[in-house]
Amino acid sequence: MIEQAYVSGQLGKAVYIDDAGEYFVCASDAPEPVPCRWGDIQTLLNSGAEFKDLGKKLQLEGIRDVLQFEERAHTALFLFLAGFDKNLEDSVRSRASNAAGNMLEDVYVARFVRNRLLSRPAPINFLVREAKILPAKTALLQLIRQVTVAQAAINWVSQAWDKVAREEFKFSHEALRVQQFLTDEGFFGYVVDELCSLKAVFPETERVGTLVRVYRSDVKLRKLCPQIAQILKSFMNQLVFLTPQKGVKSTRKDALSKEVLYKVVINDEGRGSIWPIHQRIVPSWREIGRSGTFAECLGCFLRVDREEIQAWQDPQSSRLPEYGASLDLTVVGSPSGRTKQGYIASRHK
Amino acid sequence: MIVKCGRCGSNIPESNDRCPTCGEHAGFPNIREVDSQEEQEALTRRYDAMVAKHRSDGTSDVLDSFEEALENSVAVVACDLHFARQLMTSSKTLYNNYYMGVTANIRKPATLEDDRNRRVADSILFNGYAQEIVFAALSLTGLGLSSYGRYFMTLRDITIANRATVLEENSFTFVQKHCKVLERPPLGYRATWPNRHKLGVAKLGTKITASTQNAHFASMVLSDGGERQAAEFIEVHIYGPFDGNAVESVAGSLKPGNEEEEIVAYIVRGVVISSGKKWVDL
Repeated sequence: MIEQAYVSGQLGKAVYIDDAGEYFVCASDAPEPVPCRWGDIQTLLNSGAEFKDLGKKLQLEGIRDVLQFEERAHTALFLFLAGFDKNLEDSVRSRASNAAGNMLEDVYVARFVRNRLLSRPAPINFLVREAKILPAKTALLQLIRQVTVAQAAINWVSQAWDKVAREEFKFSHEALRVQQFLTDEGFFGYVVDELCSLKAVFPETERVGTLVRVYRSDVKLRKLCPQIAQILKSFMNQLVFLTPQKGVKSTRKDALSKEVLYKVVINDEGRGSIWPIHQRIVPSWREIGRSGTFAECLGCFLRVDREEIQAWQDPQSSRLPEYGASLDLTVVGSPSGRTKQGYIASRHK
Repeated sequence: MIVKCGRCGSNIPESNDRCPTCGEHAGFPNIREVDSQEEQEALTRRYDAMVAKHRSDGTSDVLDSFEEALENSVAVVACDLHFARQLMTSSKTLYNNYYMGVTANIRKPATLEDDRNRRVADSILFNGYAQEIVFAALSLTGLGLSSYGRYFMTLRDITIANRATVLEENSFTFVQKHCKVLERPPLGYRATWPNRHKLGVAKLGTKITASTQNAHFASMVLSDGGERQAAEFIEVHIYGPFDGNAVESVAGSLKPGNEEEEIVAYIVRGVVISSGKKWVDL
């Protein structure tokens, strides 16, 4: 009987504990479980890579299934993001994007990648104009358009969650655990969708309110975090605070429009956002004197990004490209007993 | 060996890197141990004896060349493509102690008996701080032990110079050959990083002859053998983990397997190069 199992799609490894000892399984190179040495599991969990806690009462086959899916999903995300890395050769970017496009044909992989991309602001090297993508990769192109247009909404959602995570959780690993659940179950993606949709007018967005009510009554989520109802309420309040006020439509249509004007604002923590031009400035935020269409405001962020990218190229710089981790959730855990089938089934609810 | 804290005067156990009373940094325990006078003197005796032998044999020139090569030797860790990707693209990821054992493409899994022996060896060599030690191999070429993975990362000298020591051979083999339970390991078989050339000369000097070419040095220092048991090398012990910034160069294949892995390998190469590091195609 397997007592505990962890899977890392990033590392392509799963580790588990059963009656006989501790073992690990590789996604590709070693088909059979190999006994862990003393300290292996703890060391892997401390490696900084993302792990998913699968809980108990699993069969080895279930672990293998989850491992294969997670490995493939993380590889797709990695390839997707690498497709925008200006530091890579055109041919490599093109191959990465097109390989990601192929992997996104798997609907579950596509959902994973989409959920990750919609849950956090794009990595600093996410330069859409740099992408080298074959026109035939329609799923990929659609995803890129969606993620690009949604950046402002993603920023709002991310900022709201970060504030809630700081204020409502005692320990950061608890916040990350809940964040990972909400990310992979599509909560943040749905909220972003609603913020971008034509129907969304905050704070009166009924569908987002309904969504929050659905998630806060989720049994798995309540088990993972008993105070989830309070946390989601705080999240909603933060979101209302950050997003355009009632009566000001922030829509996908607006975002693409050349007539609706926006301004770039920055908060005391250095986080940027794009707000409608008439929205009042609230404490801890300030304007930086840039306004224009949504795309022009977004371009303002991209210009900052390019300077950061140049900093990477400095051999003396201590920074490394971050796209391998920027959308990761370091300390993770999901409700117990989720096999791939369970994982998939949960998405069909 | 218990040392006194320079700040508060408390005793600092040999396995601690900090004073348990005031938290003052006490130096890395492996360095404190290997840098002790008795350990240094024992190593110097072995080294001097080897130098004297070559002087009398008239092969000092070859030995000098070998020693010079050793002075420029590097620490190399091996891993699989997954881990190379993760380490090079995420500053959150750390290379840890036992990771070598987990990333490896292991065809003959270690038995629990091996694991027990390994723990005994660790406790003899690293009394109380084994969990902090990261293992690497000393190399003249940037290539490491392929039985631990096909991607070789050379570490920047500055990131390990003050926290790395070297041991004459694989620690497990060394303990089997030289150590007895409840006894300290024999002296003269370990060196601090700046003195690694002395250990190399003391260990491998007997293999140096008048006909030894510079091209032979690399395989004398590290003989891969493809399997762990067959590998001959000088083991590097680094106190504490490191991140991708500690890597100076990466050597690996651009054709590791399927199409996706190949693209990942090209991306890793691109990231390595764009972050000012060196990539070597294998």
